[in-house]
Amino acid sequence: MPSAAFSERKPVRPREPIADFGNVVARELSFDPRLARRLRAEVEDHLHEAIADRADPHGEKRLAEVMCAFGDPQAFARQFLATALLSLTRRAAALAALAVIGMFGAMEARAAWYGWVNWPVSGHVRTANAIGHPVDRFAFVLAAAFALSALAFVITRRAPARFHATFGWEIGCCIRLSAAVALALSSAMATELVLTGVRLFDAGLGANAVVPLVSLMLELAVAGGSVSYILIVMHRCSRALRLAP
Amino acid sequence: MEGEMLKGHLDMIVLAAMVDGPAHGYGVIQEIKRRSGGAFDLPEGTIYPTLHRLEKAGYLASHWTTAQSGRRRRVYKMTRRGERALSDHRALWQRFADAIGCLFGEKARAPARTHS
Repeated sequence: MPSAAFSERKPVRPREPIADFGNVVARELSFDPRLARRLRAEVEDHLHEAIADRADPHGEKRLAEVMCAFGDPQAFARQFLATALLSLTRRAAALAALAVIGMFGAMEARAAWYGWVNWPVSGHVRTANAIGHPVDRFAFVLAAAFALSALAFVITRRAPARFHATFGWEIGCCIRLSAAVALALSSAMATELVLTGVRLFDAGLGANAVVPLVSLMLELAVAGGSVSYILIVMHRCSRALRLAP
Repeated sequence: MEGEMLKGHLDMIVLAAMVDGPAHGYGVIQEIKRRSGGAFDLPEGTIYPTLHRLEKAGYLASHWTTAQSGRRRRVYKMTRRGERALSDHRALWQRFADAIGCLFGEKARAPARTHS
């Protein structure tokens, strides 16, 4: 049987305790891949050097001593949980605030352009604006309020030396605020798309339409990028919180 | 020495161990052991959260190098801000140690006074 022959030929890979140790650290911190890679490399380098530094000739004993001196890999990884979670939520909150500013700039630029070129406003556009503008403004103001709250909340938090339930609750609050920003930004963006679409469809795609189109695409990219990032951070934080002791 | 006692001063201990120049995590641990005459024998994994925290605070800077063994190695270096923080820690610790010394000295003398 070929499979049996293959299994006979296949060399048995020796266990590599240091790599296993690094894997446990990386797996525990998988919600923050950059930190996981860095700590894995640091830990493996540390353990290799510690083993090379020992005069004890008995390999197994030496390895056990080094591992024991370093401590439990899961406990080690969990020491970084609080700071890593705070960094992630800070990045998400900062990006949400930047996205709100970016969207506001694009919206204002478009409005100024409409005024400058005396963009014709038909009955359709007027009707769409009458319904869409309040929705758009409300969603945008909500996004701005949630983004500022998330930023203020997360800036005033300090990472504790050890993760505890209250800190987990605080991170949860920030995640929920970021989710609210993502939802409000998506609503504002959808309304903007409809309103600008109606306006462009009504007036036709002339040279004057370049600025609204470009600003809309930029706005879409900013909103889409930040919402995606917020969703990724939410997913990572949820994974990290599940690992919390 | 008591682990809990050390934890409160870990930032200062790590900064003090890096006075002589850049070092990687294992090097910092060895330097702490050497300078303390083996009194500070911490679980080695505790040093990394401190190094990362000090780096975030701007007291240390770090970069990757390649060790002689060919492995990637993260090397930490004290910044000017770290040097100032260590100097402040040192002054504060000196005042604290002097005060405790005086306190213990008085306590030691107290029974002698009652007997005389």
